[in-house]
Amino acid sequence: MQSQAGHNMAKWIHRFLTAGSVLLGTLIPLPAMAADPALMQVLELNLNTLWVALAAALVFFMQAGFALLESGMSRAKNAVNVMMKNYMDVCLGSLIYWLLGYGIMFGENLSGFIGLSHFALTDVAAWDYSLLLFQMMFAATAVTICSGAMAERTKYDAYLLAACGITAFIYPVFGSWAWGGLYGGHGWLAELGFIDFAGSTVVHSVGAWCALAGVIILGPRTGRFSREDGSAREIPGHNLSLVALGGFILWLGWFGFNGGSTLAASADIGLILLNTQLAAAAGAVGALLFCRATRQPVLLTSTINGSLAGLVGVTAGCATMTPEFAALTGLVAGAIAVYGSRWLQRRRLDDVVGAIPVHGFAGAWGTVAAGVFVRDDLFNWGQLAVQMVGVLSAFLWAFPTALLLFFLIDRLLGLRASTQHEQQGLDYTEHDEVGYPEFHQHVTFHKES
Amino acid sequence: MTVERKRRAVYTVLSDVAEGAELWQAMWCWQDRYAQKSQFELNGFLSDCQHLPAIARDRSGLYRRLISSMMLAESSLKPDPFDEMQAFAEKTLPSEPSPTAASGDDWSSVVSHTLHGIFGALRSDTASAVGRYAMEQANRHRLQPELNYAFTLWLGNRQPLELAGVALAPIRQLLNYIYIALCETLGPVEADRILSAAVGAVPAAEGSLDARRLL
Repeated sequence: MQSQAGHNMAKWIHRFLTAGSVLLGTLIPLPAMAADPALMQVLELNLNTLWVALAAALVFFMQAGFALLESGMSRAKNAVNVMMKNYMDVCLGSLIYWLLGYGIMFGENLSGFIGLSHFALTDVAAWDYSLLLFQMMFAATAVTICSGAMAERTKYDAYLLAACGITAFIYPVFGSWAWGGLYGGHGWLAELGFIDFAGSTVVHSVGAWCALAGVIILGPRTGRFSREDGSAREIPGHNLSLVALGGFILWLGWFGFNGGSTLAASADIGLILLNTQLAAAAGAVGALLFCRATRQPVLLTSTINGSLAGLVGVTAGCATMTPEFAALTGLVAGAIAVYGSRWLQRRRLDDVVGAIPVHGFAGAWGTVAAGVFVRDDLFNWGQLAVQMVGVLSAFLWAFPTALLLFFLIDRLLGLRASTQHEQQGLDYTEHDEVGYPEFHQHVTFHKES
Repeated sequence: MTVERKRRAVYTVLSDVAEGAELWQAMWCWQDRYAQKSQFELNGFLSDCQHLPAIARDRSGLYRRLISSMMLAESSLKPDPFDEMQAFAEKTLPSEPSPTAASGDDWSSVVSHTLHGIFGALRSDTASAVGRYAMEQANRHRLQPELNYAFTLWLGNRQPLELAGVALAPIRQLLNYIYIALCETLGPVEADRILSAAVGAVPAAEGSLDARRLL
């Protein structure tokens, strides 16, 4: 027995020493490696891959943030359904984006309007796999924005079908305009000089405009707005702690979202992450100040949405702004998110989690700000015009296309859950399970045992 | 403008030119397809009713009168004809076959307790709005006539419900209409609370039937 333990310890010491010598061997001869460009290239590729893979993991973790945030803002009877939609967004989004989306977005783009190669990548350079993985997470993020806005009254299958359509076509087509042409050609917006570093418009606004289309086709939750005067009735989420946790996780994930968009483990990451942090913090402050200025209660949900709006806002310009302008961008974005939410309510548009103001309005503002607050080229009106073209083209592409998609799904399958399902809750009717079997306060369904 | 007031306005105009089955058919056509729509779609309503001679005779004149009737003071409108419409529907319109045919279960007492629980938690004006909405929907969707009739009587004077032979599915549907009305009048949070509390408060001793099955 004792000899076996000694043998195991010897094995571990051996492994430790081997790993240490490899590490030292990598670090010590750096000057020697610098003289060898091929070796430097390999090291650079390895480091870049490591950073992008780590960033992809952080962006993936944002899905957990979305799931918690959206679920917490929904009623207990729909908590599982919201989680399921977020979960399946990643699953279906990954497959569809690998099969179709990546090729449309980054494939050879000679027209400037759509990529037409690199579908279902199987045998390419090592770097392409990393890039595909990272971009896959972005696609999942774009589509999951819809799920929160459309929560509590959407049929599960119909939603998943729409999510596939957005990932396969709507999102990557616009992406090809702004970021496309990795394997030849250029997107037309990229040609104009459109700045959207990590996707305020490409990812967030496009997702939000799709969500807006979905919300319009769906209509509000039953009873959300008074029939007499159209005023909005509060439908509080079931767990604000989940909302806060989701907000923190999203914030953390955003370091991967913005930082990873360098696609290189470079020194630029410092500024990008600092800008990200400042904008998020300023976004929360912007929401707070706006609430105080307009004499509204400072809600946890408004504050968290404020910081998320700050993050969305700075996403476009985090690499090209100085910190003070990043903070300003976030501050304004936070106020926009709160105001936008009220603006939608006045129009009787029921966005359960405030995804449209946070991702759409703040994304549009952030994209404009990215053109105005360029470091060493402040207030360049030509750049502002290009940014406006980008923001408008995103809306004019994503909104009508998504409207058509949701309309067709509504006609063919039915997008909206029945009122009976709304009463019973989508957890029970769509998934036959409930999030809180022991603690459900108001049971409006009955499950046969 | 409430559906009730719109119905009174339409009835005020149509009852001058049509009567009997023709009148009630037209009223049901309006109730089913146009009650929730804008007054500017009334032309479509008249178009849908053009097989009725009384309507076909002077569509454009009727359209003008209908539009102006929507602006009349309430005192100038005839009383709400909904009870007569319902009586006509019960006499002539076939009910939809229930997906779960009538079982041997008698839900009378359980439903009665549940309804008392729900309506007892409401102010009288809210209760009457909720009841009217649920009744309209029940008629519009042709729930079992026995159920509609029993519910109408219950709403009128809280007479004991007589639901022997009524299947569970239409009862659940009726309860859902009540829930929707609660959502629309009080908001979904209150609706969830009231429905859940009413079902939870049904005495367990009511035979072997579990009130939660109504949900």
